[in-house]
Amino acid sequence: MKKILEKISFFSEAKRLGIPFWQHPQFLFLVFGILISFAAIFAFWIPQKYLLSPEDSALLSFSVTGILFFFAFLITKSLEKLLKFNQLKNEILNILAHNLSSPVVSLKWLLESLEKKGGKLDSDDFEMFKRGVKNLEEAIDKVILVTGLEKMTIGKRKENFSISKVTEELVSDLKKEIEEKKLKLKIEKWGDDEIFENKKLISWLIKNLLRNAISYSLPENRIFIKTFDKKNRVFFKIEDEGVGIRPEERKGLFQKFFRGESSLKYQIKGMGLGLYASKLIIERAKGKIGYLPKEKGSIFWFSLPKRQ
Amino acid sequence: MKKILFVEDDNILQKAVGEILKKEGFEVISAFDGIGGLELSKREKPDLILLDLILPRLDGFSLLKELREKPETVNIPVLVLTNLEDLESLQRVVELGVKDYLVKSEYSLEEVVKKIKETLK
Repeated sequence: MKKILEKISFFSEAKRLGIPFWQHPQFLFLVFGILISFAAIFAFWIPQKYLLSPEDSALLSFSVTGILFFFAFLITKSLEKLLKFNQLKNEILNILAHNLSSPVVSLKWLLESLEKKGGKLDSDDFEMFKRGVKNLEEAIDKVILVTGLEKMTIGKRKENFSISKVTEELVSDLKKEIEEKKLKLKIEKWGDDEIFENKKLISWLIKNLLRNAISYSLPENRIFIKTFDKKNRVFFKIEDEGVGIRPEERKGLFQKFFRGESSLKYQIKGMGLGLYASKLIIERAKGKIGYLPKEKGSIFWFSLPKRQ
Repeated sequence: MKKILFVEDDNILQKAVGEILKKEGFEVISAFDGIGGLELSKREKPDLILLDLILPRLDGFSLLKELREKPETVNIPVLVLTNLEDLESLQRVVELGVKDYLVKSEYSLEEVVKKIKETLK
């Protein structure tokens, strides 16, 4: 009996899939089966008991068929959802595997080329190696972050801090990348930009937006960052003059995975996953995040409740 | 000396692959994005293009299409070096007329160099 019950445990299965139990195909099939049985009895017994006319019997049969079709429709919808979930799961695994394999391959080949050099490393080689390890760490962090955010297991500790101050520290961390591309970066602070939130997550979010702006900027471009307050909210805006985002790719920008002709490149370069994680962070903090197109470049912004 | 254009935005791979190819006696020109790759293809007329598919500004697929449409670049052999393993993407590059494709995670650097030499023969 226990084995049978385990086999029809759509409650736990539905919970795992993140759908209500009444949308689970197994539950719907069960209800469908019960309905068919009743329908068959109903359609046979009622006309006989109440001596219905042939027209009334036909009407009754059609009504019962209609109800059964409706349930069949619900079941197919539910199955479609499951198929989409499976497809998404495979896409997630594909993209996560790529996100992690890419920095590993880079390090592997770097080591091979250093071996061929007779194992003699110069400062440039060390720098490359450090960068490779950092890329790998960041790829793993991103995966952990997205998983943690979805399961709501991270980022519970909050503190007061200024967004512009955090931004200045992060710009300092990314100084090398900024200098390599000879980018001109300006930070402006207007008003009070203090918030009460998890500093680690918000720092990650700002760093992600900064990184994207740097990656997609062309050499000697400018990046403008502005923080300001308005009606109990603090706003952060980052504007670059880079390659921008094509109109067909803007729709799914903050979704976990989206498909456009060249959208795969943004996902795999981490933009898609990073923006999705950014959206999760902001929504948890009861904020808003958005993208505004420009003639040349992009504007990303977010707002959060001001510190009370 | 054979000339190879390496179109790859990963600095680490540029260094690793570039150094080993130079040691093997090739001239290596680097491009870090698709637009740079296209310009250098036209200007330098390399003997081989080593191409990553995931690139900023112009991705590898679009670059391949451009190369195939221009008379000055249509005959330059292209060897794709990619992290993409899905069949759809690999099918696409084959249809765009590449010499071959190599999935990075499946090859050592030595094997990649061997493949490059075979392609150039």
